[in-house]
Amino acid sequence: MYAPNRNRSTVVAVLIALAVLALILHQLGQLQPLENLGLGLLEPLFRGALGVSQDAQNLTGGFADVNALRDQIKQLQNQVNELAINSVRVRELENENAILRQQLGYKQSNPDFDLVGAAVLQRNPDQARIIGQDPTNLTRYIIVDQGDAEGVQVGMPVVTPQGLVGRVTAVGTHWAKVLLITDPSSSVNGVVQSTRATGVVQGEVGNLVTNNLIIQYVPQGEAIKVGDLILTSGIGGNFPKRLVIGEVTEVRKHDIDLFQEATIRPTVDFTRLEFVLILKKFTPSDITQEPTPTPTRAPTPTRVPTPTQ
Amino acid sequence: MTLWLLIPFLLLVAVVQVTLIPLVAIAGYKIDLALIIVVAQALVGVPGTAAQWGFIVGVFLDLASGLPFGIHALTLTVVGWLMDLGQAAFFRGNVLAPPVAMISATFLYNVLILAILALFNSPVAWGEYLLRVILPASLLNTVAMPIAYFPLQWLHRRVRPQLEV
Repeated sequence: MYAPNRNRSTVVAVLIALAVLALILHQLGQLQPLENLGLGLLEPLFRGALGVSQDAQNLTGGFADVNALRDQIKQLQNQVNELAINSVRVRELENENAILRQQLGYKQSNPDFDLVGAAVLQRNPDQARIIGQDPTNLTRYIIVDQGDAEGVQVGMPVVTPQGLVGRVTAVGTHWAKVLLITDPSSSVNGVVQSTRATGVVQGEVGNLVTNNLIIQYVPQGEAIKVGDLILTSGIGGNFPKRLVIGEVTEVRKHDIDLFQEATIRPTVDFTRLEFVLILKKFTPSDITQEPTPTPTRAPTPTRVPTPTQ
Repeated sequence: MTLWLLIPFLLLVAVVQVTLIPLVAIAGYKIDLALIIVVAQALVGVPGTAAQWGFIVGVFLDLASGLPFGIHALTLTVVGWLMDLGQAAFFRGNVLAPPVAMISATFLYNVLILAILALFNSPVAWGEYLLRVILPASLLNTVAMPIAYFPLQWLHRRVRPQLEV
């Protein structure tokens, strides 16, 4: 590897050419077996390193009272999360109840119609452990220890009991790469729980501290306020309906704009992710059943942030 | 013989970058340990070898990254090569070399990644990234550089005869 001086430029040129070739082959999908093999070999190292780090964390935080407090905080946080989720469920049931009452009224006023209720979501989750994160500050990916062999496929949604985490973008034998919803290139169709107004939820550039999201393309006429919960709308079929995404913390509305947007604090704590659930099977929502229409033009998922005010 | 030492070392760097560094992120920003190692190698290591270090550690990072395979290998090779040139032309013996090299390397590394993403039809908001991601990251890397710089300097003084083939 250490070439004499006169050959070093040639070596660099060869290495750059190899890297460019790898990029091209990756784009053509020809490198998948090699990537699969490589990450498969590295996976035990990742697991080992995480084990060591957890041991180290336990040692450094070695005071018993600190650990006890930490556990207590964790328990309380779990309780808060459970309550938040229950609250969401109750409100969803209320909404569902209202819709069903409306449908019942509709059925009673149209006795000649043959209507049937349908289950909304079918889940078959597998719990996956996070074994690594993207090395740069530019993107938001995690690597989990469930892959092809466990039935994981590209495009599957990834969740925790607290809410939506992201989507599987690459799969190996026993690993999968998950694009987090906090990545600026991620795009999820969302709905405001209280008003059913729809929009597109995207990650925010430079959101490293808060991991905040932005809901965009909410029509000006729709009501959206601080404290509103944002759920997945299920439109597009990539995600199930009614997964919790987060809570609105700021609304930006200008009369001259066609759409309004809002900042969302995700319910998932992305800095403390350890285990996630991969939804291997769910019933995609039928766009024609949505109570409110979506924006007419679905924006392309890009790495473009929305300028904050 | 050298590669037998170098590859496990750079593999260890990549594993630490992917697993442990995110756990000690400061204000959400992760230290680019692999980049710091490559820059430190350009400054205190065997002259002209930082590009090779960048390529090897870049391949390992590519395996763990969600970005297109080859992107880290390419960017870290280029950064290592330019830092090698900079060391030969400007940095040698200059006390400001480590911070200046680190800041410029962080800018270059991130801008190259974004440029490649842009090339692959992923529109990039340059201003936002420069102000909100790259600038803070370059400051963090500069502050963190002694973590790699001095141990690597010490290591090279101890094992340089072995590494200089």
